Amino acid sequence: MDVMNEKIRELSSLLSARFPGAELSIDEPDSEVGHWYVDITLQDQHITIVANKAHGFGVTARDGVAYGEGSDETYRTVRDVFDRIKRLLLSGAHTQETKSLSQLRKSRLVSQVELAKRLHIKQGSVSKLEHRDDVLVTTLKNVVSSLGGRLELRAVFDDEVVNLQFEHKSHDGRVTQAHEQ
Amino acid sequence: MGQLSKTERLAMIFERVRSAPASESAEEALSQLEDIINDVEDEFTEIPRNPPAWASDGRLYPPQADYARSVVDHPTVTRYRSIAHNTFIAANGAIEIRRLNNEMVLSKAGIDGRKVWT
Repeated sequence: MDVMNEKIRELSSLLSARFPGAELSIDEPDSEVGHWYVDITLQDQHITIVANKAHGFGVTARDGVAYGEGSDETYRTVRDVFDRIKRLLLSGAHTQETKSLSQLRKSRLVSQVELAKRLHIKQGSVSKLEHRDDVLVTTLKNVVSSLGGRLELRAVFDDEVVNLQFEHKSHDGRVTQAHEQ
Repeated sequence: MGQLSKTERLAMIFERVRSAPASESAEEALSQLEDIINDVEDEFTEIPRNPPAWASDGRLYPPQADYARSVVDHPTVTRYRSIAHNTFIAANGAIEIRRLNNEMVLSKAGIDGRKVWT
């Protein structure tokens, strides 16, 4: 039996057992190397999984997916994608397109020069920031705010999603909650 | 050329598809759709073309051959599945794009003036 067929059946069995109330639909390709699609609907939530031999599994769970877009998240194994779908269905959360800081800035149609001006730093500093692996939460907050948004951080568990807030120590040593800034 | 948002690029893609000459065959229709999407993305986004990329990179990609499915009782129509849409292309070059809930997004006749299901 085709490997991908087996994996799709395994994933579907796991999902059906764990979420017996969910509607599952398998969309099989004509070609053995083609893309499989599994659509899952539970109450108001819809998740689409794309799978093929070469790339594993892609997961998208949000409204407004544009024509021609790729999956929001990717996973290699049946177990990994099942765990992720389980968390999504239990929490009712959505996948988000993941973007680097550079991609985020470009998607907001802001140049490095313009962002540097808004942040009161040099353009070279914006470039360095966009290539860093580790960024302070405060810095991220300032960047997102300068792009017209607000930063929200969430901790996602199997049984809940929690919005995080951080204590902030001002220059005078006063401690406030992040949302009070 | 300046950058456009995803929504703006998509509107431009659909407008160009509607305005383009009718295709004479399924192959021509698919090729036309591919060219239009790639041209708009090349013109209006800085995101490089990378079709093997599995995850969304912000760029829009045309239907690929390995998305194809045959359509029961309609041997002259091929369905191309994507995450939130189905693209139907008929042997006469007609194209139809629908959301998964069957809501029509675009319908264009082939060279003989007939649409996908007529």
